[in-house]
Amino acid sequence: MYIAEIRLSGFRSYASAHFALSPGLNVVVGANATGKTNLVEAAYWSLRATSPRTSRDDKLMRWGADAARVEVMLGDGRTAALAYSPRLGRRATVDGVAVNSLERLRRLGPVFLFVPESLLLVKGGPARRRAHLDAFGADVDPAYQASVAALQTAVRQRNAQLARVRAGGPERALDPWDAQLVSSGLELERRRRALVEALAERFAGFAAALSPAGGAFGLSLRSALADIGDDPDGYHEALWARRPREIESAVSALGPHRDDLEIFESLPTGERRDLRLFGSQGEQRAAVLALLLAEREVAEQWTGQRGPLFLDDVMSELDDARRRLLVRLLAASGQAVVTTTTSMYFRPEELAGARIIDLQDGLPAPAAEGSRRVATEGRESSGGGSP
Amino acid sequence: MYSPAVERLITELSKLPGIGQRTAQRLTFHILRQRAEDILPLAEAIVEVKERIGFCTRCFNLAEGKLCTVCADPRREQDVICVVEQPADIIPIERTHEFRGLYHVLGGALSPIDGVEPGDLHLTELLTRVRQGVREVIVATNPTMTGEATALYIADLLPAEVRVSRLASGLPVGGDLEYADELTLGRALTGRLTLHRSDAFCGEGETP
Ligand SMILES: Nc1ncnc2c1ncn2[C@@H]1O[C@H](COP(=O)(O)OP(=O)(O)OP(=O)(O)O)[C@@H](O)[C@H]1O
Ligand SMILES: [Mg+2]
Ligand SMILES: [Zn+2]
Repeated sequence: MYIAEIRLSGFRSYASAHFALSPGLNVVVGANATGKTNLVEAAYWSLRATSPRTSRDDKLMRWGADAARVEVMLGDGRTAALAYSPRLGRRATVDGVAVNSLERLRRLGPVFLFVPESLLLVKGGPARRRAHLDAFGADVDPAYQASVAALQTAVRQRNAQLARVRAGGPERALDPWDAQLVSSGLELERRRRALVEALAERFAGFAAALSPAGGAFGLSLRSALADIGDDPDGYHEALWARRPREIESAVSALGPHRDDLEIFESLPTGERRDLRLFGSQGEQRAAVLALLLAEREVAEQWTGQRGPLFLDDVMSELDDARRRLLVRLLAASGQAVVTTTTSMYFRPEELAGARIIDLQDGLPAPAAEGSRRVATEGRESSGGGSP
Repeated sequence: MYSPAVERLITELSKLPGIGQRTAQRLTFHILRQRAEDILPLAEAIVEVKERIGFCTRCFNLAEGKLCTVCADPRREQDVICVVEQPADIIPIERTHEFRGLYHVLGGALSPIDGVEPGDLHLTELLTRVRQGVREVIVATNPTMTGEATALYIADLLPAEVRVSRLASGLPVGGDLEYADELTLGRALTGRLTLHRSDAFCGEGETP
């Protein structure tokens, strides 16, 4: 799957704009505050109804506009559009037909995005990593989302029952909810483990190549269920042992809803150094990039689709050798959209095969013959608008 | 704002499930516009159903007298009970003609987040009936998480010598029994599975 065209209106700095993308490498060039990040955010938002930059759709509306709308035309002729207005809320359509579930958007194919905020994937708390892993799981495994939802329901039901037992209700009413937690928990854990296993090997390769100082990197699922494995009896026993404490707290604390994705460097001593706590900015960035590149390969292997990869502002942070490496990886791997403040980060021969999207109004693009910007009228070049 | 009679109708209608204040108002004005002979049958039907229909004292199915038509039929197998969540679930099972036993309506499924606990279902009554000489209990709660949890609770509750089975696969997972088609449901009934007691229940759904 790739995006052939994207149209934005009332989205962040864009009043109305239209870009054509190539199925291969696209380079978005523009000075600071010309709308590079806004453009990749828009593309991702239209296909996933969410943005890593904000959880509030109203922030995406251009100041003074009454709606934000992004439409993407895919390489196979399908279209997806997402609009938000305070009055109507969020409205998604696929091929012109209204859809009301993220699942329908997902079925269009996977999509990958790196923005500076994505560093929180490494730096932030476990919930963010779980959410990311689960979103990717839902992209590549059709039963994944249902099993995430089942676990959430089981945990909510069990917590409610714990509270009722604490208030004096009969304890045996907990038994069926223990069983639901065990079955839905093991089910999700099995899927997560398979996902992380598939990602880990590829991640190690990409991370070692992209990381500033080299080194050996790894990915693993940190789970309190690790010892229990696939054994429902073991899980039941563990729940049983914690029951008095859990009744007191009315919180189910044992299960995949507490998992973490551990991103680490393996030291020669065999120890693991958690990149969350000890990684340099450059190592953390390399880890997130490596994770996305690994996901893309797993997506291709599991679903036959690679999906577009949007990389915002990564070139400036890499040294020359790693820039070359990244461009080589991208050039050989389907659609990629890379933003940059200057085309100097690319070699002329790399740009020759790429589509250049120049956001610098008035200035001729460095590789003018490659430029295919269709229209960007009404776009603001700086944040001068009033809220 | 409106006259007391109009207000009262709006209030009463808005108590119905799925009907909010605005819909209740719309319905009320629709009713006001209707001719009496077109709309009064609705009021009469409500009165009639409440006067004539209650719950079966034995199985909690809908009944015109003390007993429902199933319980009153001496040809039904008296020692097999099919447990369902709602009276509406009985209709599709009857349509399959696969089942000749009796029913027991729980009046819902366990769901602590909605405040439904074992004490809120007709479980004590089920236990009493089973102790009076029942050979087999088929648990036909919905294949949802609340239905599964309820099935499991029942399996643990009943005496060990009673055979407890659960509808087999073939049902749309996450769906409501009420909307299942006869063929699927008939197949699920003939291929029903024995419920293992307690924690062995996990993974039951994967048995073919
Ligand atoms: N809701 C909004 N309405 C209008 N303008 C907005 C809105 N949100 C952000 N902007 C503006 O969009 C402009 C461009 O933002 P963007 O983050 O895309 O720039 P960029 O090209 O990625 O710049 P940089 O190189 O600094 O990362 C900013 O000046 C910002 O003020
Ligand atoms: Mg930016
Ligand atoms: Zn009856």
